[in-house]
Amino acid sequence: MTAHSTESTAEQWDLTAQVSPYLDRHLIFPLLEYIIENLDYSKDDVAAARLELLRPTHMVDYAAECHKALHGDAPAEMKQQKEQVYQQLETLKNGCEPLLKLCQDENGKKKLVESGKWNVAGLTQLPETTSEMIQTYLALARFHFDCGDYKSSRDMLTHYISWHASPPATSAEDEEEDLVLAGVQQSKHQQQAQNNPDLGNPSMYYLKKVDKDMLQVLWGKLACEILVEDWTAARTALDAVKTAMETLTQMNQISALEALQQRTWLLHWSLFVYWNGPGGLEQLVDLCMTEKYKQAITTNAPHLLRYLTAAVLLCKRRVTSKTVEARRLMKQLVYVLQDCEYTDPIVEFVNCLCVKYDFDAAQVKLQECEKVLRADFFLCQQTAVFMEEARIFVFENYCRIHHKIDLQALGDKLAMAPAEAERWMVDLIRNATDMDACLQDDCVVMNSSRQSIYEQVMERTKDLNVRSATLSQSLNTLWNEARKEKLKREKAVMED
Amino acid sequence: MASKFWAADGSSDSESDASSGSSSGYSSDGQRGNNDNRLAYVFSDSDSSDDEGRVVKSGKERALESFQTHGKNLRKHMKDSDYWEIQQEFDLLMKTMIKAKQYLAEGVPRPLVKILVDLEDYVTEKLKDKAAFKKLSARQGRALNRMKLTLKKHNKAYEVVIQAYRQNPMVSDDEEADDDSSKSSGSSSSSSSSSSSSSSSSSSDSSAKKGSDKDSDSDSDDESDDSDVDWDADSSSSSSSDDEAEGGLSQLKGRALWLKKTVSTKKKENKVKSDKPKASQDLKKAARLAAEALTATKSVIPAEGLTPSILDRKVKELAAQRGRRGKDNRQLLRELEALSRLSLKFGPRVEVPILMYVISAQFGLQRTMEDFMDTLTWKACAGYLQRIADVVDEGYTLSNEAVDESDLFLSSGGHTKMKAAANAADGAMAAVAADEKLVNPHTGESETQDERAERLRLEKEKAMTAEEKKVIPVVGSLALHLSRLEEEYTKSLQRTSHHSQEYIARLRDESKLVELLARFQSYFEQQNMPSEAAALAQLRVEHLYYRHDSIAREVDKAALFNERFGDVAMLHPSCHVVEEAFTGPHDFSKIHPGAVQGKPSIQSESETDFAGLISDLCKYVYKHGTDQAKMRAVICHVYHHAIHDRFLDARDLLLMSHLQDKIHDCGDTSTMIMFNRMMVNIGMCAFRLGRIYDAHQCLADICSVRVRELLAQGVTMGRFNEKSAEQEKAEKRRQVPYHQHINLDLLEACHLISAMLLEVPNMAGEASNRRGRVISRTFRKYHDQYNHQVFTGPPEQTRDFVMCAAKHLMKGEWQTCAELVSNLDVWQLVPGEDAAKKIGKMLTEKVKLEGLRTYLFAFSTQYDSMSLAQLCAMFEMTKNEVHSVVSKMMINRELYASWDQPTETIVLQRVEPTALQVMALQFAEKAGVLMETNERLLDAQTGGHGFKDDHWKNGDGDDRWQGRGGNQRGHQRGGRGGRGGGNQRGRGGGGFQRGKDRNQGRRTGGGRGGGRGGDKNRDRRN
Repeated sequence: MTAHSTESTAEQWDLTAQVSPYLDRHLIFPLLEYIIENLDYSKDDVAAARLELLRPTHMVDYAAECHKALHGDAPAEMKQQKEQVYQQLETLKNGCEPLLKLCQDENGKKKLVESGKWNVAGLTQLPETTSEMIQTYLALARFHFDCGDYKSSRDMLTHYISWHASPPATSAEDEEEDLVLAGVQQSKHQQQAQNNPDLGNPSMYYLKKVDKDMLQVLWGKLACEILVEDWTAARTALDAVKTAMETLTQMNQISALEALQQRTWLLHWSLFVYWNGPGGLEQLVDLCMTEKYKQAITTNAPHLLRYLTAAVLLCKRRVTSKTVEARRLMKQLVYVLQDCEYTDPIVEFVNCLCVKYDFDAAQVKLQECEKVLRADFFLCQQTAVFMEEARIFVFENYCRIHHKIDLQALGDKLAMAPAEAERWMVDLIRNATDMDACLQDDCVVMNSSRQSIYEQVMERTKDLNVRSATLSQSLNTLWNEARKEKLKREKAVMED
Repeated sequence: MASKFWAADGSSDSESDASSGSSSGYSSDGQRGNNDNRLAYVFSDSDSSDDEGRVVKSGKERALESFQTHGKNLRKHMKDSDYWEIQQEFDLLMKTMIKAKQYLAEGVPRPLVKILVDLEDYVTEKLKDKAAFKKLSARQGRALNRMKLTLKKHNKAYEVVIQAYRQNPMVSDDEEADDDSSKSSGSSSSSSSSSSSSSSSSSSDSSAKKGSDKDSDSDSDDESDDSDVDWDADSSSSSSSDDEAEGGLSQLKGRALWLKKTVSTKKKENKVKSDKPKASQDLKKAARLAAEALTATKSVIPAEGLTPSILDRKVKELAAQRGRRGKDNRQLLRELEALSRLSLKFGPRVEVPILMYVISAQFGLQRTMEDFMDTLTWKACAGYLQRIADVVDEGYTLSNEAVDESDLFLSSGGHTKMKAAANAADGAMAAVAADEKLVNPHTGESETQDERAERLRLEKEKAMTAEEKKVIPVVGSLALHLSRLEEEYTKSLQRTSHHSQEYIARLRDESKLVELLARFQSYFEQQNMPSEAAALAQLRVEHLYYRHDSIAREVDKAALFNERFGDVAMLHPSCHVVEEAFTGPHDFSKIHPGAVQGKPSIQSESETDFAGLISDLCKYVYKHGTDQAKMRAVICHVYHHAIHDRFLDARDLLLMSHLQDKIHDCGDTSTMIMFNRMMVNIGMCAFRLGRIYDAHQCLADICSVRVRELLAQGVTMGRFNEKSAEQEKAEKRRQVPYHQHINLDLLEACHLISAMLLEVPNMAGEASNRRGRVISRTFRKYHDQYNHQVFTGPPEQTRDFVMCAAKHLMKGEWQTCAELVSNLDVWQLVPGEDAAKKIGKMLTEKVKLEGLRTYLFAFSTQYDSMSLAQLCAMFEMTKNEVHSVVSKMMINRELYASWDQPTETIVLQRVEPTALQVMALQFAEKAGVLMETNERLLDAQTGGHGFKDDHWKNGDGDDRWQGRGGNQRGHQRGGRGGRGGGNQRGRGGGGFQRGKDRNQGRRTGGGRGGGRGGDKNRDRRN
């Protein structure tokens, strides 16, 4: 799994080695698959690494297959292991038989839900179930996960979580959690109702309280969702983990260091979620720009900056309607970049463009970027979009400081033939709202965007309004305080 | 005569007193006894209590006596609840105390403290009882009230002693019990010392008593023979009590606190590991040794028949005399040293405890905080500690625990009674009875006390396992001794002139000290005493962190060289000439014999990895140290990173440890100074690496005012503040030794140049309509001063150079500027190869860049367009560089221009506003100013914001010891914060604030000012 340093830049910039320590075993498999296909590593090495990864899991069949591919035949111990796995599975299943049945029995479940007994207390009251059984159930879920049966594991975890949750209709939710989740939950509510109408239980994350164990369960749930590739559900799970974690940190149940570690994990896992599925990038940027997660990136995982940078570049035009905001976003990104000592073509590209204003170097970097992007598991799908966005970004910056540009030079900068560049340019000018440019004999001419005096005056007086309001408010409070003080004093005098 | 009465009286007293002591209230029964105690206690010569009138008393004695009488009266009145009388009496007592101030300065006698404490308790208790209070007559009530007030005021002066007493009242009670019996011993003439010994054995804290314990044979010859000859002629019992008084006294002297511990941490019996039979040659040798050793003093001890027990007893006797009136500490030290030499032959089990006494006696030589240990003593002390380290390395461990006394006595039947007598406080009579049987239970022969002690010791030793034998019980704590040693070292450096040869010679001892610390650190680690080990590790770090690797290596080498070959000046001159040793046959007609061996040199075995060492040590401290030590360790660690140009490591560590937030509350000036030193070094590190912005952020705060004071590198006499003598002394004490100084010239150069690079373009930009924002006030101040000079001569000081350079930079003459700043002499001081050259190069680059910016700011208005090539030529920069700089300025709207790409020119856009527009702009500006003024006004009212932060201008008192981690600017923006788009204005306020800090700074900026105000108050209070 370790990157054998080769000359090829694609391998040099491969992040699998850095990313994998923060991932679950099972999450690494897709990465490895991708590497085998797309990168120039020794296939055997990767396969060996995969086998090594498989060993502690219960995916015996898969392991045996790998082993066969690698060494020719499956060893006897694997067969033995297989038997053991089945045995264990049986015991676990037996251990929570009634619960399993109950979960499959839709009617019974519905009844329980309606009578408000679909929770731990209610279940333990039932004659055939005990509290140990619930723990066994959880263990079984975990076991399923280890065996690679993510779907059943997910379903079981969903049940498990729902027992610990109290749906909004019946009980008052945890307020703070509600506050954070409010927005998300509502949409979730609807989604879930649509997705699993038979469950009729959209409240699976309405957990009354979280503790460390529950956090583990939520992590498990997230892993399952990712591996099942149900991205919308995964996003909810991700939010649930995040919220649970923050709650725990607030309650001081996990130390600051632990929290930092967990956040780093979350950031890595979120790559799966956010790079797949629509609208994820904006959320990724939001998440990474949150103070605490930014901290996690800078201290623990600077390599994540690649993904952050890419995400910012990709979604910056989409998120922000105004150029000002886009620039602010960029600026923030640059701050983060300056805090770390991480380099990588993508980061370099932004650095060249936004810090050094060295367009030639940026061009070189952009070409490197393409290679890196193609080799990256998360980014590969977005390569084309990224390149386009990056070009526009370069061009934007270029235009901002130029008055007149030769189309030829522009073509060079954008790595396009002049004719192509011209077409591209025209399209851009047509579509752009805030660009006042035109083509004049093989040159692009920008009309100056010099701030007019009127604008300057507006700019200067813009905040006066707010400031006066604040001023009067604080004056008010001051006055009120003074009055109160006076009253108090008078009272005291009266009493005396 | 009255002996019987006294004895009986004493015994009953000791009983009642013990009970009163344990019930911690005060019992009226013991009243009289108490007074008598005091009598006996104070007059160490107990006989004199019988015939006071005839004895000529010293002033001190008289004072003590009058305390006694007043105390006695006070107790009586307290019993009667006659407040008025109490008050009268107390007034008298106060008067006496004022009269006896000089004696009290030496120490407050414990009984006096006791009466004060009791009185205080009594008064508060009485006052609490409101009902009773109301019933009192007016006079009584008033008296009580007044008592309360006067007491409070009065006792403040003795707070320390009282506190100590309150924490440990039992000791004093014990003492009193002791005193009783010692008094009785004094009067019951025949069996005096034996009874005293019996009773003193009940108290468990005075080693001196232990000494007396063993020599309780009243007519023992050596007592009269030698010990009484030239030493104080007091009986042993009195010495014990007096020693206790000393224990009380010593609490007054800060340093002496340590000593007290050493005296009172007791050890029971010193056991020699193996008792060698005293062969005759041994004896002779010992005699010779003794003769040699004791030439200075009179014979301390007879060499013949010397046993460890006798030695032990002597040592304790000596130790007991410590700090006594009329006892010269040096004399005492010499005697102890002599004993330690004698003890050498008995093996480490005897030797080490004595060494510990010697060491604490050495520390005892320093009477005040201003005193410091002279080099010789220090070296001797280090030598002793080295010796202990050797012993420890052999596998011995030192224990500080006291062996349970009862074990000792139970082991020999004859002593059980003594113990019983002492413990049950049956009185002196019983003890006397017990003492009569001083016979050897094995042989049935009578024995002297010494013999008995020796026999017991041997018996005890036999009973010990090999493992136990490896444990040496000692008095005093090694860790404390070591930290004391370190302190003395620093002090001596502070006191020695740094121009003298002596100072340099002294520096060599540092490696010795560090080595010693290292040895004991590993010892403590082995002993599983991490807190002590961490303390030593911290001390070690503090002697290592400030050295650049290159210097550290040289210094260590020099120290090693000196150790092996002696002073360089003392070497034979001929050996300097040659490089290598001659291998062939020596032809002395050609070679000077002194040069045969070649030039003495030290092979550097392995290069020590100082960075690794520091980080290991610091990590150890982080794990086991106290909070304070941790903070200091972080500072040292960061400092070390900084001087080795590891800026990012240093910054990350600084930010992660939240040092900047915590330093304000650390309350320890020396740590704050360390912090300041560290900040300054990070700044210089950033400067060396070309991070001008960071450098300025770090340096600006500390360099702007009173650098010397903030870095504790010399005292500056401010014009406005008159420091009290006390403050001045304190300041002198915290001075950093010279060799650790940060060169102020270099510092100023770094600070001013970084300020120049930031401020000059800023000032130029200001001229062209942008609202100015001062980056460096200091720079502006100096700049103004420079401008106002009537005649400007060629630069002489560093500051002049920088100012001159700035002037040139403003004019666009960047070459002159670069030349001026990069050829400063101070760069030679930067360690590392070619450092000066590198800095010069970096500065030239920066100057070019800022020169270009300044030029554009200042003169762009004069142009319509500029060509890239021309700019490149002007500033000797590549096209790319210029393009990058100009583009950046365009993007940041510092320059209203755009590129004309085909021709590679900068086209400047300038619209001349109409008259109306100009006025509109002005109006907007004015409105903004008005707003700001209003805000300031309100801020001043509420005191919420940082505008009053300028208090540092009127420099008051000590309040600048806060690290001032660079929040001055944070303030300003905090004050105005919340205005839209504040985040566009460069990053953060303080040093560096990454991520979390940045925003927080902004958010809390408003509140900061208030917080600072609070700081100020706190400092005043201090």
